[in-house]
Amino acid sequence: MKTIIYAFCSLVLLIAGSSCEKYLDAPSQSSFSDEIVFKNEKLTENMIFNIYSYFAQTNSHRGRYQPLFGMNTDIEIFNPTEIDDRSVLSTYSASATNAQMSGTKDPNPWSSFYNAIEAANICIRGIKEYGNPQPDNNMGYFYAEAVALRAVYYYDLLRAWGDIPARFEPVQPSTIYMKKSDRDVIYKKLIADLGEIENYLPWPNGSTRTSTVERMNRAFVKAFRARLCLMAAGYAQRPANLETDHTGSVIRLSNDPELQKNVLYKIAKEELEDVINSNSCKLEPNFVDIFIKNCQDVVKAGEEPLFELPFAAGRGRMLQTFGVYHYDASKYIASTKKGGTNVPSPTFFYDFDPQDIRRDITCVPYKWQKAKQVVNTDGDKAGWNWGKYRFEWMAKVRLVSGDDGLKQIYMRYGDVLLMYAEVVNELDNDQTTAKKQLELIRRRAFPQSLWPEKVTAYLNNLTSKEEIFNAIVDERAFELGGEMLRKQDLIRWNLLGARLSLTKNRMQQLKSKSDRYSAVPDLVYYRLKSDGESLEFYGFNPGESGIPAGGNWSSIDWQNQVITDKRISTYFQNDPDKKQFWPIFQSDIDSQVGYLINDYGY
Amino acid sequence: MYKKFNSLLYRSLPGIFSNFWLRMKLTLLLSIIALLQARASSFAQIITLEAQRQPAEIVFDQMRQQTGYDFLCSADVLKSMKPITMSAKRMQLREALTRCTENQPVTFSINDKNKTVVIKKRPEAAVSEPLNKQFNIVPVTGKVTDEKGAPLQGVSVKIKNTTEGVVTAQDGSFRINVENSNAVLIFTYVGFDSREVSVGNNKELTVQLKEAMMLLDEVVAIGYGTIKRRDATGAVSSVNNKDLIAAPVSSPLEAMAGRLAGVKITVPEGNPDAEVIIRVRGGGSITSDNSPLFIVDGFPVNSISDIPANDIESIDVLKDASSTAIYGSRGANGIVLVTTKSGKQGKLTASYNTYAGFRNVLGKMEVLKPYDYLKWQYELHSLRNISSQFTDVFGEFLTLDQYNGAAGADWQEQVFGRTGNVFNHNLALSGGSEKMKFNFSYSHLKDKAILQSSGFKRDNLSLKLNYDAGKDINIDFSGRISRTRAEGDGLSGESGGPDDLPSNSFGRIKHSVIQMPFFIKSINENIDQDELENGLTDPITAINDNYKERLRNNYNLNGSFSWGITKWLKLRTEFGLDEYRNQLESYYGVTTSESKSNALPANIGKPIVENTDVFTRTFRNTNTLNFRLGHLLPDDQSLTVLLGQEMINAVSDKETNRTEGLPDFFNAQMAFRFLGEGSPVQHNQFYYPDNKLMSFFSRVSYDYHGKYLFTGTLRADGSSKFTSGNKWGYFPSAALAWRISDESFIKRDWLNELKMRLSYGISGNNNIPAGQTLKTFGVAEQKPWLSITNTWWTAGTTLNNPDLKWESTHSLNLGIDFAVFNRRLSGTADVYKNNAKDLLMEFTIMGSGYNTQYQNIGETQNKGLELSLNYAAVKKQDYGLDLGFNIGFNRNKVMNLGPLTSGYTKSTNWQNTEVGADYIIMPGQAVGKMYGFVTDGRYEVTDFDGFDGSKWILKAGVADATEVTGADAVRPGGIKFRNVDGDAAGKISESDKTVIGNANPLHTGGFNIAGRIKGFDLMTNFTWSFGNDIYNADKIEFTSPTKYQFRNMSNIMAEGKRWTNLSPAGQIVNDPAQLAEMNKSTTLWSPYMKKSVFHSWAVEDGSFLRLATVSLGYTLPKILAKKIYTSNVRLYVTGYNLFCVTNYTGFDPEADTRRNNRVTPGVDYSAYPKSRQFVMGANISL
Repeated sequence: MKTIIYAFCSLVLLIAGSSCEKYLDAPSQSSFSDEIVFKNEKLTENMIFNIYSYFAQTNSHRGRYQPLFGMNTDIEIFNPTEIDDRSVLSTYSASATNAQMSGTKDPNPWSSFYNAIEAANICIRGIKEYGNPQPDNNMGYFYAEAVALRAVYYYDLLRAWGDIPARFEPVQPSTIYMKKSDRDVIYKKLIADLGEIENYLPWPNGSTRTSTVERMNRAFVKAFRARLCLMAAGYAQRPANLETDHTGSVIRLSNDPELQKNVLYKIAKEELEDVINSNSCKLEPNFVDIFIKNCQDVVKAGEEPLFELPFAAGRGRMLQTFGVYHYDASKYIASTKKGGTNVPSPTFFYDFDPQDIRRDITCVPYKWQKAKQVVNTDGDKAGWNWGKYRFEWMAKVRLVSGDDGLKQIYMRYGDVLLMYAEVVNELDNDQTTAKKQLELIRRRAFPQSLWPEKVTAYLNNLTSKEEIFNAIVDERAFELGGEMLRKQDLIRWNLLGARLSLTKNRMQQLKSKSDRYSAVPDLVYYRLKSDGESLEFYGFNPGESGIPAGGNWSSIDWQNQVITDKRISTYFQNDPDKKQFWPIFQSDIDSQVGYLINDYGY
Repeated sequence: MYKKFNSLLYRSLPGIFSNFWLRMKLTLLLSIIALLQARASSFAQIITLEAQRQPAEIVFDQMRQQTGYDFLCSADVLKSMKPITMSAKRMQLREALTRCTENQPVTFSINDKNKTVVIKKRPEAAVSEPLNKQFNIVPVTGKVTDEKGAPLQGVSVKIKNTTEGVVTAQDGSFRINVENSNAVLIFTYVGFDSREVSVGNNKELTVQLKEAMMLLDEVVAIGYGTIKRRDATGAVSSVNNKDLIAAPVSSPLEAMAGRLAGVKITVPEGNPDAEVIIRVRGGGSITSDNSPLFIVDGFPVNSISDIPANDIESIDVLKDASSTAIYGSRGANGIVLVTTKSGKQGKLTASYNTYAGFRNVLGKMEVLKPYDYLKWQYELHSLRNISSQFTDVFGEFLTLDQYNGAAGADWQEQVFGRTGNVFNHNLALSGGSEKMKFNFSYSHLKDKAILQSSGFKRDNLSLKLNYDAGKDINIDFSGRISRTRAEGDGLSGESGGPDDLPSNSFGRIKHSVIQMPFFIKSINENIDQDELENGLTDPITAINDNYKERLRNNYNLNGSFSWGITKWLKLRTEFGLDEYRNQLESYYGVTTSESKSNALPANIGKPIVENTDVFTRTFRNTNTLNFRLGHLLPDDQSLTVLLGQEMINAVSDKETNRTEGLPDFFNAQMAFRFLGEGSPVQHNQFYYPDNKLMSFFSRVSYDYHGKYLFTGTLRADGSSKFTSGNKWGYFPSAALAWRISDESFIKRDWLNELKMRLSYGISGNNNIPAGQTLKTFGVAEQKPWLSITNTWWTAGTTLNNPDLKWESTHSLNLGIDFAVFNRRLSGTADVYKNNAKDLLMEFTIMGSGYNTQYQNIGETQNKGLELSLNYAAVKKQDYGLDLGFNIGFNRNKVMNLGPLTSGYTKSTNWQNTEVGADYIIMPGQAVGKMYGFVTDGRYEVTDFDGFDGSKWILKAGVADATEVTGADAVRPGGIKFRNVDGDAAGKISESDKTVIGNANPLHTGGFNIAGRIKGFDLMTNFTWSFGNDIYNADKIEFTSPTKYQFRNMSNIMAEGKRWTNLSPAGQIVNDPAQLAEMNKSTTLWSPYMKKSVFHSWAVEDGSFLRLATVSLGYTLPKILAKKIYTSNVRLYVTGYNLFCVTNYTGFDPEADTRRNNRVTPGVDYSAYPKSRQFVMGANISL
């Protein structure tokens, strides 16, 4: 008996004897502290990947920003005309309670981008504290990558929302809630940051990590810094007073002396020159190859793209929204009803020079149905499609029902040259250099036989700074249409409202084939080519009147059917210049408990 | 002299006993100490004295004076005693006598009734035999039965005023030796009134025990101990084994439904492994789990649903803080204490219980007939301007009349129309000697459910051993093993991990309603992929392609050691180990979107298998000291003090695997067995932070005159979930009870019991995932999202919060227990107010860089009233009728939400993001407020100025629902919503949403009727809920195509009821007069709208009265039972879910399918259908 008692008593003492406080420590097990992580290169790189991962989060770039940001412009529209939570995001009539953007289940772009920024802030502080980042070591690369990625997410926030909270340190209890900061503060910080770290990054192909365009490299970051400079130095809608007036707004340049053109364009010029002189990227000789390679997932550095969002093969919705519409399954796609959501505006095709190679690559008037191209002028997916994105070009048949794996080209060399032209024209009135860039772009756009007329003569006609500027405004549309850059370009040039109004008028004119469109034929003829799947057209080009030769033609009053009254009336529903930005959505306002207020009268 | 004394002593009759003693002490005794004293009742058996080598007679005299007891002792005995040295301070008489007779050749006995103490010579071992003879030892035998004459086994038979006793055998017989025929035997048995029987000259006793009428003498578990219900000061409701097995159910929680006031049991779905929701007095937390703490034999467990009801002795639910505070930190949502059966002393007994039965679905949803379906689809496609997509599949409109009268496939019949069956048996062995008792039980349950492929199996083994090691040392051991296997579509996807949220079983039931009335293979090429995935895949294929298997293994071992160190101090040490493993295997076939969209590109369109394996090991050590300190107090007071210490450590890990690219002809079984054919794409093992708890607790119970009862508890809990400084929470409580019926001024014959209870206390809650206080980095869930890597590390999307502290619930309770009319009518009423403060809320902080953070924010209140009544209407030998009734009213209110002064909305996301916010949580309101548009009929032709050729022009002032239902739906017949915000433009937008429903019932309850006539017994159990609203999301889904094509609808929208825009010739009509004429007899709007909208039409009254169980049993007469070598045989039939009175139009009003949000109760969306079940069974005892 005693034995039992003693045994139990000693066991109890043994257990009760250990200190309470110590007993109650329960460190997490499948995790490390920041010191361990940021002293180790492999783990640090894993944290860097975390920043990238927010591009692919369900409702971040992948599900919301790519499909819904950037329209409507003079050349790009959201195709469905039904007024719903998706379309209003493009028609300048979104409300804060937009259900597409409610961030309750999966964070919306706003929350996702700030999650990414926090991930970057953690890396930046951690690497600085524990990692000894140097321009020539891996930690230095990761450090610069975090800083650059943070700037990318900020850029996307600034484009969509204007003034936003400035979060440049990991969240503390006191900084969970934060008011908006003047966007100028953020611009200055980003531009300074990028200037500081760009030399930590190798040029494209300067290291294994920069041998593809899926990660940060020096050429991209420099060009991207230039893009930020152009944006910061440009016009934008700003609240009449960030603190007190949340309804009024003005469109103006920054008042900050550091954010004036003469300062920022200088930076941009240097950066762009560095990129051009580095010879680390180049113009793709054939315009169409940029997009074929993109669809075929060529990510090699040293070519036209400088950086692409690194979606895996089964993630991302670029093709699903921007691609040529496929009504049903075929040898190109094993799924149905994909593509055709974001399309060229009805007038864009007619803005092009008819001989511009880029026109027929960019704007295509067909969809796919029953394994061949068809003309579709009624229903929701009527009209033009972006020919830059085609399931037909993909290396493999895509069986996906949603995600397609297309990596969005975030910056390409064509953009670099056009920015450079704009900067030197504006800053130095250096028309020669500016025209030289335009020449490079236009030579690719026209067959060599047409260079004398379409390149040399065209450029010779541009004699003033203003004419060159206007040429650049047009050229950026022809070159970069459907690449999600136009809206921001129009805003910084203060052309958004004007251009959209103009385009609305032109849609009306084109529908009735009047004014500048009086030469557009009434009917479009189409028939299947001998390959049994592709269509040929007659009647799109001005002057293609009458009935084409040969048989089997069908005809359709394309313009009148595509440009419906509803299309015109829902093109923009408020003055775009009064609603240049999305409202901050309700879930984000709610979760910041009174710290965030929507400006611009939202 | 000596002999004479003894013979006189033991042969007297009780009636003259005291007089006899008065005479005897004058004539026969030397050194008579006792004198006739006025025996004032103020004398207590408490002794205070100092003795230094005092003669015994002096010491006894002092004791006599202090206690008023007479002392009887012969002179030679007195002479034989050595002088006494002792010191006593407020010592019990018995204790004092023990002290002064230590090492003396004497023993004593105290007769409290006659207030006498007898001192006599200690019998020597050698002379005990002759002494026995002298003392006239009498063997008594007998038999104990119940009123009906059935033998009672395990009845305790004790000789009054001694510790000697025996227990009856299986046939109720006992044998005991008494010292003479004056002895009185006390018979006690759980559930029966105790009885005292004088032996007299009877050598053969037959004792009948009466079943206890009232629960007040029953023992209730109160945490680290038990108490007689009459002495309880807290609010405790109980169910015993009889109720649990009367109508057998797989989960004991189900058997509790409708039996306990203030305890709401909801079975939200009909699947065999359904989660059962239990709420004790509402729920205090907003975003955290409001489930009570489950304690099985002292061990905290996650769930009790895997314990067979047969193995359970009783379930006690602690409701107020005075009862729950002893569990401190985890008591805020109430505590469910389960006591499993222990072995009983006696011959080995075996009992065998079995039942088998069948079940069918309760009801189906009527859908459109094929011709109606086609006409509607044609209208839909025409309205959308895509009629060619219709004709591609079904042909031209005018050819459709060939389908007139055709019957469609009954998909519901195919999916969940089969007859399920259930089989259960249980074998229990029990018995033991005086030293060693055991109880062994084995159960097996098999359930084939009504849904195709769905089934359930469970095996349980349990063993309980109690060993009496003598010298007040007891050693107990119990072990339980359970293995549960659930299979098929219709399992929830919960992994079972500590941070897991509950989820509804599945969402595919709806597919059998919206499926086209006939299945056309070619549809695959014509229909949108999303459409197929959202309901138009062949339903049986869909079920087979979403097959799951869950295996739960649970081992629970407990050992305890208790030692009565002294008479008044008892030590108890318990050790427990619980191992729990939850494995879930999910198969996604080729038709699932998981396989089509979420696989790596190389594996697209091939089967996928996902495994999760969660393992949790919990270790517990509890040490308690129980002081019975009554002897320090005057006689009519008692005091017990419990001191305890407890330590719990739970260790968990979760392993996840995903294998893709299995051959496309593999079904689930092949995929599970030949997993190696695929390629593993994910593999992760996550170790959760340990969850540790260290506690110290104490309970003081005091009673004065048995009339005034006080209980005070204090518990200090340290939790590893918080950082130092916030680790410790202190949870005090106090309770007073007044047994009014014992007051002389209130005593009435008809009033058997009246007790009033008042309690106040604080209990806590740390119900958040461990590891919330520290920022750490780990592997993110692997996802094939990026081309540059498959894995990355993350600090997560939940921000750490080093300042987290305990949530505390302050609860006030006032209750009354009563029993009247010879205890035929008894009942309990309680009113309470619980305020939960510093709520541990998972707070949304999106935009900060994290999605959520746990914060201590806000306060909620639950106020309520509970009443339960029991009435023994008829109580006769051969027939009886018992009625039970209980009702609970609870009002929930959010008192404040911290910075969220105007509250926040929540989306249930049953239709992804389409519906948007549909619940609102606001200060001043209850949790569970539904938030949506107010239905305002439909647009009539008169609401429009006319049709302009492309669209209908609304009249000024008519609410415009374009933004909600789509521009094309704003036409005559379109659904109309009320312009709640009253904006001048009449635009219906988010700001027109308002509170349109409340999921909280006004009251819930149940009543049961138990009757018996001769061998027959009948038991019925009704449950009800009154005044709650249901969010009938099914109704929204089944009455509109929303954005989809080709879906069928419920016949709520049948032709003639719905508005139609289609002329008999198949044209969309836009002529106002014609439209009005066509629709003059229709009552509903047109189903046509672009998305799912939540509006008040879909909020329905969810009140119901359900006949949950009816059980009819027949017990064989004893003689017959004996003939088949059994002691008791009861045969019974039970029906479940026989009817449900409700106005609710959905499948079942008890639905609650969006449980993972926790703030969105009462949504009915694609729930697993419930079934009606009949079983036949037998309870056999050998």
